[in-house]
Amino acid sequence: MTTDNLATQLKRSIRRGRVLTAPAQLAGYDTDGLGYKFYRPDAVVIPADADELIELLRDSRTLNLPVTIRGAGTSLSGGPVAAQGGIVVHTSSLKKVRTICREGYWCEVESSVVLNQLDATLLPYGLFYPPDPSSGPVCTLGGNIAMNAGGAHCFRYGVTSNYVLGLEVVLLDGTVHRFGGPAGGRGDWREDWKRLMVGSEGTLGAFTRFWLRLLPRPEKVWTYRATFNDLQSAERAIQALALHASFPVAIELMDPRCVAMVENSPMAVGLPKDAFLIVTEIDGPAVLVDSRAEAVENLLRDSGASSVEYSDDEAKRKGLWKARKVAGGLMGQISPDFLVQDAVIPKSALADLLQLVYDEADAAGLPAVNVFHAGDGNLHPNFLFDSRKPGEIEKVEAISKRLMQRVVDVGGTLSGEHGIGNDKTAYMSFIFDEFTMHLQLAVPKLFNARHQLNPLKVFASRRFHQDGESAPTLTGCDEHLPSGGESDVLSAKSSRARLFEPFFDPIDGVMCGPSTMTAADINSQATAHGFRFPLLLDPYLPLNEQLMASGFASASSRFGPYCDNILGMNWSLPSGRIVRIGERVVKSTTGYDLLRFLLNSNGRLGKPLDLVLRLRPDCGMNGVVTLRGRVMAVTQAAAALLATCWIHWFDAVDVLFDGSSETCQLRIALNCPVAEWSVYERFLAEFATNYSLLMSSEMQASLVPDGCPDFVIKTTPDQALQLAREITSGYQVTCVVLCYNGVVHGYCRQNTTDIRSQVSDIIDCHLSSLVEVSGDWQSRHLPGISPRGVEAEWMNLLEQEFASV
Amino acid sequence: MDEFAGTGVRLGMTVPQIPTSTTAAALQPCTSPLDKRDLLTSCVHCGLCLEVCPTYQLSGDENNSPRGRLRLWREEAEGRLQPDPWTVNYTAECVGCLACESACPANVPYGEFLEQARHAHVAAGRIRTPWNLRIAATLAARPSLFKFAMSPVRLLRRWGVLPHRFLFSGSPALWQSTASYAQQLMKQYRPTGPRVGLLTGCLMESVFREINFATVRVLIENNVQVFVPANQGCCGAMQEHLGLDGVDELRQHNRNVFQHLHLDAVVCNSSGCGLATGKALNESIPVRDVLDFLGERNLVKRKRSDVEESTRVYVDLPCHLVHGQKLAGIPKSVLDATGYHWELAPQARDCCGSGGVYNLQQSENAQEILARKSAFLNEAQGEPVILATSNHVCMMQWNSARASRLVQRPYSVRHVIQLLDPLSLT
Repeated sequence: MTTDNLATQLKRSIRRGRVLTAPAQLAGYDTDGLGYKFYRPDAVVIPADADELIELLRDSRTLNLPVTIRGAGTSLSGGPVAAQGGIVVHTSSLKKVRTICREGYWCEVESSVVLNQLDATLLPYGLFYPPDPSSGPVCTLGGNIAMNAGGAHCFRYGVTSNYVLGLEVVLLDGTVHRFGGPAGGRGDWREDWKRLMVGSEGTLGAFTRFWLRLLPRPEKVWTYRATFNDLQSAERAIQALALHASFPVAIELMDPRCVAMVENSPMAVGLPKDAFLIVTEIDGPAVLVDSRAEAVENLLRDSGASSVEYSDDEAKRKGLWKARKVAGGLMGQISPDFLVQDAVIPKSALADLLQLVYDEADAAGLPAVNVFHAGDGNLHPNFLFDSRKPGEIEKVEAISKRLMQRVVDVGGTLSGEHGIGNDKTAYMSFIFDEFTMHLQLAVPKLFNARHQLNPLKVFASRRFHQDGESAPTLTGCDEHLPSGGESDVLSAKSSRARLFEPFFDPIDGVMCGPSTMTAADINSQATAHGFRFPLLLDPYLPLNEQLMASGFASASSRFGPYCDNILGMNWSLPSGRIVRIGERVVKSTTGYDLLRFLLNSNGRLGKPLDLVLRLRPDCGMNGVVTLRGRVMAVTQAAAALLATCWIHWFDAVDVLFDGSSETCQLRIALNCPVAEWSVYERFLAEFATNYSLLMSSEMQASLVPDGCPDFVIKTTPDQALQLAREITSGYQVTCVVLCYNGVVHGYCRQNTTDIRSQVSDIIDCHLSSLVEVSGDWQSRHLPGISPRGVEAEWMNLLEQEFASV
Repeated sequence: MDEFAGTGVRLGMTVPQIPTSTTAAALQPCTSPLDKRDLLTSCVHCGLCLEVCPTYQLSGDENNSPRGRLRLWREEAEGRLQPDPWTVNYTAECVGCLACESACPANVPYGEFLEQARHAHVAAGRIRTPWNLRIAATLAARPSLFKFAMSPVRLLRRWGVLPHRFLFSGSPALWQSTASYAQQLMKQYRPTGPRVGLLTGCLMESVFREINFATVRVLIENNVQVFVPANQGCCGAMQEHLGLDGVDELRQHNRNVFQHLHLDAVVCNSSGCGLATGKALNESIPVRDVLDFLGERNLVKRKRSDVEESTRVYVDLPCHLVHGQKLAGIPKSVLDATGYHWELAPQARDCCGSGGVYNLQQSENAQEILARKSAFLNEAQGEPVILATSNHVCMMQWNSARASRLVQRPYSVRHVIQLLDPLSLT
């Protein structure tokens, strides 16, 4: 097709937007933040709105060219580039923040809203959206969600996938689907398709809108900058911070090479050039966080820090962050190119991996500096090179390959927050064996079988084949692969199956055990090391049964649903074959997120055999505070409590409706150091007085789990209390509302003769209002509803793919 | 803490060695001048410049951003892209606000590349400078001629006749120059403080001379000795904007004029001229923005009458002040000394679209940028409302918001120095 013909064809769907085809209009789009690999597209289009984007994808069959969606192009992994030519679709016009629901803790935004702009918009509401990649001033939410972005503060707050409630996606046939929504449930769908979309790197569809979960903004922040003479002391500090009751939001490390780079520049801040540097931050309610400030300083000094500076003053805090923040830009000043890797490792292997980086870089004669998210074990070794010098790219890629192999050998993964793009496809066979690779590739088969969307990304075998060409088979895709040279599928064939063995890692706070383990089994290992697994519905039932009953437990208020606390699993496929899904490190964006999808699926695709659990530090004591009163007062109090940043520190904020139309209770569970109990108690006592509630508190008492619910309803936080009230007044059931999650756990009376019909009645009565907000329901007493229409097609295809492994 | 039961892992058993080959010496940042190709590679393509770029905001087209333009220039410089009219278009669409320089973590000297590209495009005949701007640039380089040619405009302004949207109200002296006025006041008041030279500027002296007069008054009132060489010339900013030859000669001329006056500083009351003069004097004499200079002195404060209690001043920060000269802004002490209730205009650090002669060359873009930025004035509190800034080109642009009916309510445009002027008291 000639350029003119292509432009004419594109202008049929892009009438109000722009179509760019001149060489100098394409050059600006031939790379991303990776910056040294260039792929010139055949055309760039900038749709004027979502309608034009839909129209364009509807015409994609006729266009018969690869289509790559691009936001701000800040990806560091070669994501939004036209690796196989074709059309780059720049979504820069989709920039509206459409709704902010203060009481529901969600917002609806278009896909090209810039991250920091969203933050500025949320500021007057006292809310924030936690993921914070360094490119925040410019990166778009579309890019963040496509790559499952992280950032310095995700050590405590988690990554993008923890905050996506729903998304609107345009598929290649031009159909528009909403997976999830304000409530974050499945809505009309039977499966949780949004899980596959988050982190799919633009290979499944084009995002147009998102519904995002928000948190109350922390009231106060303290920032610390500490230097260490050796890695051993720095590691000691990282470990002590990770276990500390202040739950730092960020733990960042710079190695001496990086510190020296900053200190040799005009950005110098006066640090010793041979020191390791840790920047960490704590936040929370002022009264709480102020009381912890000195303890964190002592912790750093006791770990061996040679200097500690800290402040709660905005300008001074900025100064403490400066060395960390300027490091990335300085690399651009001293080197024409740099490559940053994004591996996540078990923290116990940190010294080993850093040594490898130094040895390899020194042997190759290339400078390398390390500046990374140490709390998560998310390494960012930066290799500085000059792509114009023959052989330097090859050297860097060879080092990267050996590095990645070692990362995988020690139990790590390829990417924690940058995504795979086309930069890391060559290493995917280190992670996925023949079978898991097949399962991974089944995902694009559902939505983008010809790989027309963003080909050659995530998996090198994802090559677009034009009409008339034969589709690539799993073994027939060995031509024109990106650097690394091997077909991921071919090499995967030879790799051995990787399954999780039972383990307990007291440094990362991660353990693997059978899915049938109970609370006692978990605690028998966790307690001794100062950890706990707070998400329990029942003290005696096996974990897999609890998972079947609900995706949430009371502690989901603080730690999120089960699927955010399970990192990996051995999964038994319908054929009986066992495969490994997910990782054993706390952060991963390596491949499609089958883990969360399968954990939320209804069992047709298999079941978990072993689970890798993310544990949480046990801060010393548990306590339960109950505020009782009139229904209206309790519901108002619950809403007011959610609006404070104290909820970051409560394991549970539940309202219990036990059938009384007059009264109910607000139940708050705590896990904190003994010394802090009085601070919490004082705050809650004042709170109870303000709302005329009767408070009773029980120190040293664990929250007794309520047991597996008979039914679960997921809605938005602002609707859950009213819904539970209606249900308890109409039926003989008890409801526990997990307030921040918008989840209602329903328990039928033991003497109920026909639980199934009662639950059916309740669901039928509220179904339409639930679907409206993309809520959903589940009940262990009722069979799942079969999917219909296009979802049935997708599920059938997925089942076939899973069955063939 | 070193050992954790259950894993047998000892923390930090292998402490990384830091070989000398890649420590301090090898990691020295580039401080010496590199050739153009090397500097172009200093852009790491991070994209942090996109959101601060007014033309990217307008077009949503990445080629129309600093990262995109640097990419096009590099591609052409390295021969991978044939000279293309679109490269010229995207270069011409740049306002030159330099907000990207403030956002750039790699300190890419974007402004220098822009000047080089503009000059190269004009020199190679890839873009034609409109005849009216060529004439204006020729006149600007000949101050006496320019002043004479503009005398009817000064007269019209004195009469209150403002026939163009860029002409804001004011009453410039018709024939007395700033140089002669400064001499007169120096003799009269005999200040004893620091010695400064004042760059009068070509358009400022020819059309908006009353601002220069106010500057002289404020400096002398604050005990600063002011010297205004009558033979000073244009700073060269206009030629630079247009990509024309002759910039070096203009800079050399002003170097010769100022460097023998034993000055503590040369002060400028227009941030664009200040940026260009800084390049001309090349650190031989400190070049200071006059407001920044005054911020270090214990200023005489203006007292306002009760009538002026309801006046609100909205301060806009010129791009070439905050992004070009890299100043934090206009000192608070200076703004407080005006005696007015003031606050920064929303998006005060963002471009207003004036960009030297940009509002003439790319008037549509300039209007759109201004429309977004000036909208707040329609609802702004205060009566009357003053929009104050410190660059005459920005003042012209802000004035055009009223003339073009982007702002529907009355407001006046003033230079901050005019608000400090002892003669500004009502």
